[in-house]
Amino acid sequence: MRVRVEDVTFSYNSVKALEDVTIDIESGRMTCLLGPNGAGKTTLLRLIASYIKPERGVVYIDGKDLRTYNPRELAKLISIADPHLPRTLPMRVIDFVLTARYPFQGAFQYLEGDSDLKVVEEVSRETLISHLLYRRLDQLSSGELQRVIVATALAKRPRVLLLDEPSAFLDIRYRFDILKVIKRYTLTRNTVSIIALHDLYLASLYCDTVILLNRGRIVSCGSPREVFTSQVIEKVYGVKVRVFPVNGDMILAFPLPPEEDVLTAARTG
Amino acid sequence: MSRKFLFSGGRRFPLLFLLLTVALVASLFFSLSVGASLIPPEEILNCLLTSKCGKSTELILSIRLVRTCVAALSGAMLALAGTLVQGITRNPLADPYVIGVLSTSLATVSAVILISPSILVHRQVMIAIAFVGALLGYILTTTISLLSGGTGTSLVLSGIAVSALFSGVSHVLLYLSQDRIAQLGKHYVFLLLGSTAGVLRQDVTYLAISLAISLIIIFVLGIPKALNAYLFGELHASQLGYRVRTLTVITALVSSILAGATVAVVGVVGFIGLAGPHIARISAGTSDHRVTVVLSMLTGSILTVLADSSTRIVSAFTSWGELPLGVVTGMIGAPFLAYLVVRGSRG
Repeated sequence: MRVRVEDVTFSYNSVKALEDVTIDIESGRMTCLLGPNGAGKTTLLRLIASYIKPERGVVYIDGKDLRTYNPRELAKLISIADPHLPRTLPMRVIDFVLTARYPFQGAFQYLEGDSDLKVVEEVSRETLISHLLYRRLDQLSSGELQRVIVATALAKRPRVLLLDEPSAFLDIRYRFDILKVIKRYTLTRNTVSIIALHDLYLASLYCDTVILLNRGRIVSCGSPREVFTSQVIEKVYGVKVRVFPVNGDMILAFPLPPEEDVLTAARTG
Repeated sequence: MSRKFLFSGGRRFPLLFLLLTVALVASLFFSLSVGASLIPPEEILNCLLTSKCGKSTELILSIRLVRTCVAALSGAMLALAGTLVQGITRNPLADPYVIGVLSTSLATVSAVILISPSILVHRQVMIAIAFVGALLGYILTTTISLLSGGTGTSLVLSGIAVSALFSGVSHVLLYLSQDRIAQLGKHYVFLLLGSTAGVLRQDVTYLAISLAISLIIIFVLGIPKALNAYLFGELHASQLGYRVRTLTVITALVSSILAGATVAVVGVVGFIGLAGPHIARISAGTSDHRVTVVLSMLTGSILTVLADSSTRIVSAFTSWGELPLGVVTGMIGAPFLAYLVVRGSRG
């Protein structure tokens, strides 16, 4: 399984969101999209999910043009999750997670089959939400909700997993847990996993490949060690970064406050 | 675990379905037996099952049977329309009345009545006109709502605006044509507030056909599941392979058929479209449309049949004559809804 984005351009009402983006993404690796707000991370995910169509350029999945897939095929293949979930009408967690199984059910099948329920049971164990299944969605904390959203994305058993900010709103412990879950899924099922993240530290810790976007263009692409150089990060974010090498190839990246005197100002109050 | 529940929203479904069906049958019997003269239930059974019953009882019963069936069907249809509308707007405050569909439907009907009052007798034409009116109302409301941002709040607000305008228009039109309506033996207020008085045997058929068509569309196209997916956002529905635009258009169309048909036959009956779905949803503990689509029809039916019976009880024991149905539905349904809302919010 591989995803190729070729010369893709997309704009919202003549504002360019992505320009001539070309990337190749292999399966079995955590690929992270980084970049400041408005860099085009969400747009890129939605293009790969075929939710929006590129103005120019083509997205290929396994060498096949995305436009030649039928919607049902795609629905089984690709999962995309957004951290914002409308919750105006009361639904329970299990109702939400089970919607992910709809593409696998027959056109006239009204109820879930045992296989669907088994998948949900597995997924909720993997994502640590078994105890939440019968709670109402609007009564979850935002951290619990994010785990439920990731669980639903995984409940499709997708071959291409697209996650937008899965660690948003989570506390430190669950950030590690959720990325570990995603990484394990990626490795064991050999999926193409593309994850938009804001947290440089988490990205340096869990990503195999980092794609750094800025204003709709790819600035840098490679391993965390290659991408997180202080010059590149400073150019894109306007923030300095300190990189610590840890055992072997791994690094940890910590952004620093924009100016040294912020720290002193905070100290003096 | 996998065998512990029937399906996602359905743990309580079989029991609820049974209870509500029993309640519906009970309220149907109640409705058949009360009125200017009381008919005991065993006599009703006798009359319906065997043909051994008095001429006068048979006559009263046949009239009441038509009214009761119309009440049951229109209640089911309004509640079903409410469930669908709340689904596509993702808004628990929406109902066919709030999004303007009932008022525009009545306005088109009143306009046609003003031009040619004899249309009241041609129910198929009335239903078609009311349906077109409902559809136009939906298009108008969603257009205004999209122009003002397309949020749930803007939809309800534009629906209220459309409702207010077209209720006004229909009041004026019906007021102008009240003499001609009176010549046909009807009071125009009954169209504004709904009534089953004076419904005809063929009305039952028309309502049943409209409901059957709607149900076929709903179940063949798998709308309950699609609405479940749509509740979690357009991105979610679309990644599950649903065409969001088609879904909303078809669901709106079905709601308009349902709302339009009831307006043509009983006039505007408020509250059922809002309360029916809510009672179903709160008692099931979920908004899973596979459950609420079925249960809301039962709750809407029960509410409307009880409301209709009470208009007859009032007219039997007082000298006020018959109250409009739409006035009573609210008085009967609101306390029950309030109770469920309070209980439901406590989890």
